[in-house]
Amino acid sequence: MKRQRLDCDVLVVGSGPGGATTACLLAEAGHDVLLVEEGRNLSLDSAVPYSLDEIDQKYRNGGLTPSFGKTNVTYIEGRCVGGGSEINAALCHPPMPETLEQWKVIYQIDEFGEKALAPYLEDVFRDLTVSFLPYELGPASRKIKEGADAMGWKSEEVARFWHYPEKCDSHEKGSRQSMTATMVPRALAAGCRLRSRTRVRRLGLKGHRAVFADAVSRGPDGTRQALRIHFEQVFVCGGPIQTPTILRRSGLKGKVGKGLTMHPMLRMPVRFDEEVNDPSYGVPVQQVVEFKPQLTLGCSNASLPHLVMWLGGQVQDRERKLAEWRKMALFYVLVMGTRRGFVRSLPGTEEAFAYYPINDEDLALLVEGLYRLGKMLFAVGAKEIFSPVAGAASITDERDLGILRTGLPQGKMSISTIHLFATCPMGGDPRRAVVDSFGKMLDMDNIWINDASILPAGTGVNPQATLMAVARRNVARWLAARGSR
Amino acid sequence: MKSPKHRKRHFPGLDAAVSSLVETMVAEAQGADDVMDPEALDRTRATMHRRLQMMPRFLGIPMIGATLVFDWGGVLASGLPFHRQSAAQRRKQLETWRKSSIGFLVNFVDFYEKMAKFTYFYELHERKEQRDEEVSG
Repeated sequence: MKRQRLDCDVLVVGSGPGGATTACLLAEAGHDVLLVEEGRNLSLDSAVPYSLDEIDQKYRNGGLTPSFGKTNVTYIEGRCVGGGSEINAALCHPPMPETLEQWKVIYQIDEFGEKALAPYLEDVFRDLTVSFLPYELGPASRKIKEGADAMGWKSEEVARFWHYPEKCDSHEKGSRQSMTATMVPRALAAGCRLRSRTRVRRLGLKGHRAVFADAVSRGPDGTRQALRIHFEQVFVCGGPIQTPTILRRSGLKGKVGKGLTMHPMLRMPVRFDEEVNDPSYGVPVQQVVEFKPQLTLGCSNASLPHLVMWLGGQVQDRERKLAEWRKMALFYVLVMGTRRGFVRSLPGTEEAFAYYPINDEDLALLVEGLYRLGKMLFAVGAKEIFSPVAGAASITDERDLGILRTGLPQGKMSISTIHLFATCPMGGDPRRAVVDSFGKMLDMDNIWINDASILPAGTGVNPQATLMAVARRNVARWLAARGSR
Repeated sequence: MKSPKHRKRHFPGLDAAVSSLVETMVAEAQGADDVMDPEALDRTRATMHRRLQMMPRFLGIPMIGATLVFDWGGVLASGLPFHRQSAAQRRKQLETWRKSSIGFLVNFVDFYEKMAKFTYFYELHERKEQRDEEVSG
């Protein structure tokens, strides 16, 4: 395979929220930027959201990659231009001030904290048209609100990266403000070059500098082309799994890939006597925030196929319940994982291997979350709660919820996550950090990391807003150091 | 330019094993009197094969191996591989794996259960709705 040569001033690897933000701001500041993305360049409407087609088109490995441990956790990564922003729920939760202040102290991050990030967050909110619903809450969201009120817990509507036209009365009239709708077009308009279907395998090093990236580009017909991309500076933004994999494959090991943490999540279908599942309202946006950041209770998007998938094997009177599927919704418990795992690149393959040792404390918190969710939903008329344990019977009486508290069997729950963090943490403590307080890789002169892998721990909230604000801050610092804005 | 490597792996007996697992899972998800939709079932089988191919190799190859072991493991219990068993025998074998104390076996059944049910119901309901909308313009 004859290798093709490409040249650029700045190479950005990965086009998710971190990479697209980086490429956009650098291009708008006049730099020669090449943005490289492993997945395809697809429009937002190339597939119905949460459909089988979308999974095939935009998810890595068809959405089925497990991290290994005592209990496996399935994680989802976007693999398309725009990355996770194209497939997530587009929920926008600002970082919790106390989390930022803790990170600042524990990880010794310079010029950090609520005040330091505030202007960058404002920019994120403006650029991605962060909005609350212009119409009333949907029925599943109302169940959470009324349930939380009944329990005396605080709940709130989470804003979304979503643009609603004036006089909007339906979710379908709004549009997702993903990277392909916002930062990527801006980057391209500013002269950034985009190369999709191109996988960066490794960086070539010379002393303390990276001088090229070896990549493979795939044509629409599957033909492959080897590339060597020469650059002055490189931003690696492949996300918490791919970024450490690329770096380790390049010979940059040490602490790279260690420290993996996540927000483990359990889903639980719940049936009511009335309809609670109305797709015209879009993703349910209400969350119980009383127990944040350790524990979040909420509701997912759930069509009939999703509900069937999560219902499990033992369902009495299944036919009737499926015929009345709009009386069911898919609720979730999300916790802030307390353990640390790692990511490795598997020798001889192109694949990443993730290990996360979910422990008894994480599981106990998930179980406690299920119990509280059950109490809350029975308080607002739930009739049946389907256990997330494979093969377990459903719960139809509030008094039986205690079964959940006696502990759930390890290895028999379908735990998943969409939030991963901390495989290349930032900070000033060289015993922990892989990058400095502004994303520059320690001991390397021209490698920067600007994605969720530099967040040093779980955010306890949807991390996209936090990571985009941090990415903006790091780029601003990079530009300022070079005398440009 | 180099031609793409043909990554598709072929394993004798895999088709029969995957098909019988899909049919059993779908039967479990449907009402007792429901007839399976052959087109949706065909598409589900094809999707399950694709999913196995899409998995990272360190997972896909063990999953394919486990599928074949699951199929032929039926010989020990009932004298027949899973794909040639009766519906009752299949349910019994599935339950044995589902209730196993070995995490991998539980995860194996969970994978087929979730993916087969999601895919079949997606093909049966949502895909049809999409096609109907296209026809009605």
